[in-house]
Amino acid sequence: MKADFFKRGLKSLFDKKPLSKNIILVIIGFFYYKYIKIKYGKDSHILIMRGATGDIFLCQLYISAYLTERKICKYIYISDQKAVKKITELFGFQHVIKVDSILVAGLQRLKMLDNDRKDIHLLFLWHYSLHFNRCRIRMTKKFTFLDTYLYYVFGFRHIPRASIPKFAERVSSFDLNKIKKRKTIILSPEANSVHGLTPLFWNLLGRRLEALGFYVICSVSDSHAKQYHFSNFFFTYKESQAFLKYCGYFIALRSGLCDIVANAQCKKIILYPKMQKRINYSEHRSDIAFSSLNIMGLCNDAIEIESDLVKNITEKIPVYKHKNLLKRYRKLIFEIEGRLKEVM
Amino acid sequence: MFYQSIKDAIAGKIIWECVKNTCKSDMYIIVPNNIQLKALTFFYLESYCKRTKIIHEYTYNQSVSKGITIITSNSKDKNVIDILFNYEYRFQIIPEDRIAKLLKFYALVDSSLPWIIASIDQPYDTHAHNLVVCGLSTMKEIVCFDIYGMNCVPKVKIPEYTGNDVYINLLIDEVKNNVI
Repeated sequence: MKADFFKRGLKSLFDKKPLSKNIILVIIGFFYYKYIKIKYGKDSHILIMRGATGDIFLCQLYISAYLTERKICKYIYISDQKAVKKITELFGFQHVIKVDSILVAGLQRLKMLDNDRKDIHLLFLWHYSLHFNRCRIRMTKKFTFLDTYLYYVFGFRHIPRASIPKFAERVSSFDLNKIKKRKTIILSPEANSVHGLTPLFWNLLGRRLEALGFYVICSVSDSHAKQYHFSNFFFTYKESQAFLKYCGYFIALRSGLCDIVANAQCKKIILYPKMQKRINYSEHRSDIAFSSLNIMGLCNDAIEIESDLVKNITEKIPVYKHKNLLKRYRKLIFEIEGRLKEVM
Repeated sequence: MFYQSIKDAIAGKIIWECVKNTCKSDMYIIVPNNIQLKALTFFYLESYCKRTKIIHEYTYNQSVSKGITIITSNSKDKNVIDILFNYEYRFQIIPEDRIAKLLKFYALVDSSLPWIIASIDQPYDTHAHNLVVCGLSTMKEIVCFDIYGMNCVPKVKIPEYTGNDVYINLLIDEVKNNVI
């Protein structure tokens, strides 16, 4: 009977692929780990960062404190995020390597398999490639998105001083003469974890703002620029604060960019999804209570608006009749206009 | 060490197949040795079952593949459940080293295994114990939110026990200390 059990168990090893696939992945991770150790020294620590722009930025604010607390001097920062170098550049970090996702996943698996490797630090514990660790408790009412990093990832007992990102003082990558100083509104309609407002909304909003005397520009990736009826300025993170200061106004969906520009000297209006009635804590939250720039303490002057037209990325966008949708869009535009007039 | 871990993960897969074929349950709960965590895991287990509508009717019909299997290394745990909670779950008593191998397997496999692992100190666990250490959260919240995946901490009546079994009294005390 026991032999039969054993045989069946052994056979099943090869029946399904996940185990063999992940063994290959962990072996890749192991050899990459060895390679890093040879190249950067045996005592170097590996910090693995995944996630979107906002995740990387918030993590960077406190990573120095984390390294100091753990007395880590030699480290290498590894990520598969496209913009990682542009964000870490703000904080002056060296040894930042952007690698293919398979290497990061391999290291991640290696850490999971072998917890004794204290020199691998997972800084993004809720990546969708992991079938565990959804960390529901971090999304309950008493915590914010920033708390996730402070207490959950870094395990700080007391909130340490955040690193100060170094932004460029002037914009040099494009000609500012085309833009009306302190009378320009930047629309930022793209976000990784929030959706629901179509280009139609942003075009209607932009037209209304132009009627109020503003010069309106957009900041979207080149591939989407044609959908918007305004000049597109895709500025770098380094120049973001100087650019926003020059323009004077910033209206955006809640995105990682908002974290980066939170401290910019301009009027900021940020659009959030409404708090869901029944939160699924294993998913995602982007509502004001969880990810407000003001509540998290990244700034204290952001005008934050919740709208049921804006949806968390995990929520479906309802299908409205065109007439109904326009009515809702106008209502939100009217609200933005009202809040904008308060600070003009 | 690395190759040993892989060997253990493969051994874990074989152990898992054996357990699965023996128990045929909907869900498997691997309980820890940590007494505080174990007490709360048992305490909120029935709420979890009610919410997820997992019914443990295998006791009425042994051929039906349903219910929960509790995997533990401590044979006293079955007694605890029988006396304190009056629910009948299937138990699988496995030595500690084999449970460690099961967990190595878990750490490697992507497909969602029907497992609940009540532990808080492995990289595949919740890191929420940091929140407990900071005093920002409680163990009962961790058990309900992160281990059982519930959206709240349900109100559950604390079982009464007047016997003198030291182990059961220890678990009851842990429940009282953490829930009240």
